[in-house]
Amino acid sequence: MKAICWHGTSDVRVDTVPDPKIADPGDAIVRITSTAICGSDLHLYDGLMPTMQEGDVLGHEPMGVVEEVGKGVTKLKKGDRIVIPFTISCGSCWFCQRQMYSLCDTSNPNAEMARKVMGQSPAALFGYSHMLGGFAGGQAEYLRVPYADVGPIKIESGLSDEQVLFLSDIFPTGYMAAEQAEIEPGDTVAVWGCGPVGQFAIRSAWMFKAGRVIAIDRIPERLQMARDGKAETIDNSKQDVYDALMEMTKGRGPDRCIDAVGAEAHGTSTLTAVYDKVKSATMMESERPHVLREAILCCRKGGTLSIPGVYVGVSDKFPMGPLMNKALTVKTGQTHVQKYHHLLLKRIEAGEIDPSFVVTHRRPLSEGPELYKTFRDKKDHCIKVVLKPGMA
Amino acid sequence: MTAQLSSSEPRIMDPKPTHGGAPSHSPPDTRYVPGNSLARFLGYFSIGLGMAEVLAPRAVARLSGVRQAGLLQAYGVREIVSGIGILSSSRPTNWLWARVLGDMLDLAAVGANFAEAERDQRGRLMATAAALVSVTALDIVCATQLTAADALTDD
Repeated sequence: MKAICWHGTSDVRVDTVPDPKIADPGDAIVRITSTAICGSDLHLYDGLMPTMQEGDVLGHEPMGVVEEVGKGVTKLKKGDRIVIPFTISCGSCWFCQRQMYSLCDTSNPNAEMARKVMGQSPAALFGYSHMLGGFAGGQAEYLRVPYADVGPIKIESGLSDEQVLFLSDIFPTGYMAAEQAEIEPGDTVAVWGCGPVGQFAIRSAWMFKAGRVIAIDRIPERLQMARDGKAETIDNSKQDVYDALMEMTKGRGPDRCIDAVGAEAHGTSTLTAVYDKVKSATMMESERPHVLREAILCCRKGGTLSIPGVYVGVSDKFPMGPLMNKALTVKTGQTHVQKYHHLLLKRIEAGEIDPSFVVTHRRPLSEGPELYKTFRDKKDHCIKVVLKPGMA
Repeated sequence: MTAQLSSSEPRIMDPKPTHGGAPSHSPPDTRYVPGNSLARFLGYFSIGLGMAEVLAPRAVARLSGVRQAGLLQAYGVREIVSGIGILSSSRPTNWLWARVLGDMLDLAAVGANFAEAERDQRGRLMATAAALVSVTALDIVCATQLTAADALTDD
């Protein structure tokens, strides 16, 4: 089958790889009909994630049709149309029983690797390094889905792929970000990053009855999409974010702050932004936590910082003093997709939201490598790329 | 005021990873072998060097300062076998350790020639030894990485 494979920093290629086979009775084989490129795929593309290996199949936002199930699978059958969560969870361990699916104790066969870096291993993820499982990803024609009875959600309505595909990751991610921000009715919510996760965080913030949503970015089409979602916007290439937020909130700061940017923040020309660039270029810092620093300083005292943005290693110059002295609450984590995807599907089916608004590019799988570059460089007004293995 | 733990709430010390209760324990799709790229390079290097030793032993003898052309040819065969072993094996760990052993033999040959070498030959022998030490270091790094990967991913 054809698959998009990692070959090094800024080097992904469409390779011919063996078709996946059932390896465990709990597996299913899925023919992929649509799959997306995620902002966190760019951390792999940019070489930030350790334990990637040449030939690894990428992709963690897939959906498709079940082609084969293992003997232990009871909830899926050939022909079922499913969306596959990016987190692989067993459904039975202590964490899964408490709906903390992204912290599954069981699913990562390389848990020892992750334990050495993180203290304990989180759940395995599709297509996201060997430290997080070594499972092939979904930017391919076929995918082996472990724990097939636990993860996938069946789509039995006539909704299009693009209306439900983002239940795999970015819609639950934006929703969980808003939930973890502890939004109370009337709150002012600031969202850093108007990429796809930020866009869903904005729309989810309204679901939690926010009073104001302020979105921060520098890309015009992303700011416009945020305004389409009824957010006020700050262009951080033209305004100082702290000054703008203080003015907009009469000096108090936003009640809830959401970092939907993560490890590869683009700072301004401030000293710390330059510091981050130099240190990450010389591999002395694994990420650029510019947004985290800014959000901590901007958030009102006693407020909440919700971090859906992916970080991979260690960050420098972290403002622990302001965080502690302002009594901020921080909530973060990879998304517990299986906790949210049923309730979000109901909202889609009820017409409350059509997630396909975020798609700007639809291309065949074969054009994936080119689209990685377009997406990373934010060219051609690119916000979200959906790849279609079946498209010519 | 001391917080009371509910009797139905598990204590934080209790949870253990549960493997038995899960419906499956799926293996990864690919094995992580961090030394793989370096191993492939050393495999090709081995074959290239071996062919030079087998096909042009006198030239290699002149260049390296090791005068025994017959010995160089034998070492060349060893290099080719190691290289093929590395490139054709999905777990080339033992072949890399075999290379390390071969490096020791190569250094021994250089040392044996040094004692009776003339001045110009000594210069070439020292350069050969320096190159051998560098390659030995690469071989050891690669073999160690592969050994660690084997330990990590073996059941």
